[in-house]
Amino acid sequence: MMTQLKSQSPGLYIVSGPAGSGKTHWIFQQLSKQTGSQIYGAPSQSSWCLDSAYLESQLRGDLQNLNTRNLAEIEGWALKSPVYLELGFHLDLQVLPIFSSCVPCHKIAVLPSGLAMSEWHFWADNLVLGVGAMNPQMPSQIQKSDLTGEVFDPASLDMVWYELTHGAYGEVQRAKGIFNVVDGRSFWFSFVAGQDSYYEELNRPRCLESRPGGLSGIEVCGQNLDTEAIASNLAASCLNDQLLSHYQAQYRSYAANSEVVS
Amino acid sequence: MKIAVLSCIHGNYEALNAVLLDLEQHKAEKIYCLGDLVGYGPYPNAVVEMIRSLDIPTCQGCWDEDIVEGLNACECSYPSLLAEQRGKLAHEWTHERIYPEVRDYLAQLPLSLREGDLCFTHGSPQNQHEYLLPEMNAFAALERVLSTGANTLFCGHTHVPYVRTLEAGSIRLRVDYKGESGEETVFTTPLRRIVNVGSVGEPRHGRPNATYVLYDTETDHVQLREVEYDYQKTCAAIIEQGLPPIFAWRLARGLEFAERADDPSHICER
Repeated sequence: MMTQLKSQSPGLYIVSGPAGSGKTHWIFQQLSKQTGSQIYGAPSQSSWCLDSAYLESQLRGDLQNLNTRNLAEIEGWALKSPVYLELGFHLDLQVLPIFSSCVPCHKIAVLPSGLAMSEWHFWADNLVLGVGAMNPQMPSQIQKSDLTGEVFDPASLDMVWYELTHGAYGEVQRAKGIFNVVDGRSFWFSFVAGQDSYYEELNRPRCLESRPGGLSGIEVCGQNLDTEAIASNLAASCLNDQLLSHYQAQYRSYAANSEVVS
Repeated sequence: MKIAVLSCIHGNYEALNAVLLDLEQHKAEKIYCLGDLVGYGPYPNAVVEMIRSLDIPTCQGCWDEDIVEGLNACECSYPSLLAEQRGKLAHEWTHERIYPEVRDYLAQLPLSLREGDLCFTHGSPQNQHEYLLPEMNAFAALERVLSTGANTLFCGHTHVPYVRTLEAGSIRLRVDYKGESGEETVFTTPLRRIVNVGSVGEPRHGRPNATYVLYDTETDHVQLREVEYDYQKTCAAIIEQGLPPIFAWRLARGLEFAERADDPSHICER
C-alpha cells in the first residue's frame, strides 16, 4: 500500500527501489521541506556519488554527506535529525546493517507504477509511488566514469547523450550524469528507459577560469553495454586545454560586456 | 523529358542501385548527379565506377573535393567536436582506400552543370560547402539562384529534400555614401525555384530510405522520390569494412553521420 510518510521527525529513513524509480528525487523533496540539518548518505556508492553531488548542488542549505562506514555516527545523527540513506537497486536487502533499536528506522521503497510484488514490497514498511513503469529486466551492467574537471562541447554532449539513450551503445535502462559545459555551467542529465530525458542546471558557480572542481561523471545501467564506445565518444566530446582556454576567454569577454551594458 | 537528379551517395552502393532501378522504372531519360559520391559509406570506388560507367553528368561535391584537395574545410562543416572527429575518421578511411583513377575522376568534376534554364550544383552556386537550407533568408536564397541565370536550381548537400519557390517580387536598393543618399533602384525578380534532391546514401530525414528527384521539363513537375532498399546490407558492410559502427546505427535511423552546417547563414571562406 502506498502511504504518506511523516519524514520530518528524527530517525533513519532507508530508501530503496529499482533503478530510476525516483529515490533521489523523493529524498530531495523531503530534504527541501526541512528546516534543520540535511543529512544524506549513499552506502552502496563507491568513492563518488552523483546523487549526493546533485543534492548538494540543488538544496538550499548545507547537505551533510555521511561517511556511511561509521554506523555509530549515523545512529547518533539519526537520534537528532532525519537521516536519509539511499540504497542502490543492486544492493541485497537481506544483508543490510542492523541499527540499534533505539533509533527509529523507516524502510521506504520508491516503486514505479505497475509493480505488483517484489522484494521491495516485503522489505519496506512504507511504499512511495515513484516515476515511470517497471522494467521487467534488472540491469546486468553498471558503468561509472568520473569526469571531474572535464568540460564538454554542448553539441557533442547532446549527440552522445542522444545515441546513448536511444540504444547506440547497448540497451540502457538508466543513465544519469553531471556534466560541465563550455559556458561555465553544469547540468544534471537523467534518463529512464521509456521516458524522455530530464535536464536540470545545477546551482553551482559558473566556472570560466581553468577547469571546474565540482564532481562530474556519468553512471549507465543496462545490458550489453559497449563501455569502450561510451567512454571514447565521451572523451571525444570534451575540450582540450587550448580550446577550453579560447572559449572561456570569449565567455569572460561577453560577461564583461553585458555587465557594462546593464 | 523526364530527368532524374540525385546527390550525396556517400559510398552507399546498395542505395545507389535501388535508386537506379527506381528511376529506370519511372522512365527517366537523363540522370544528373550533384556529387558527394564518396565519404562515410563502405563502397566509394564502386559508386564512382558505377556513375562513370553510366556516363552520368556529375558535379563535384564537398567530400569529392576534400578527397582530392585534402581535408581543409573551415569549421562551418562541423557542428560539434564529436562530428569533426567522426568526419575526419571517415575522410582518412576513404582517403586510404580510394583508387588513383577514382581520385583523378573526382578532381576533374565541374562545380556546376547547366541544361536550358536548369542549373545543377552540390551545395550552392558559390561553394560546394555552403548549405541552402529551406529556412535560409529569402533574399540570400534568391541571390543564389539569380547568380546562375537559371530559373530552377537543383542542389543537395543538406541531405533533406525540399522544394522552395521564390515568388516574384521586387527589391529596392539604395546606396548611401558619406552621408549622401544614393538613388533608389527597383529590381523586379521573376519566379525562381530551389529543388533540394536529398541524399541517396546518407539520408537525414528520419528514415533510412534513399531520396532523389524526378523532374519533367515539359510539365515543370517536381517529384520527390523516397526509395526503400536493404540498408542493413550497407550497415553490415560499414562494420565489416572497419568504419565506426555508429555510422551504421545512424544510417539505419536516417540520422546524419556527422557533417551538417550549424549556421546556415555562414559563408564558407575556405
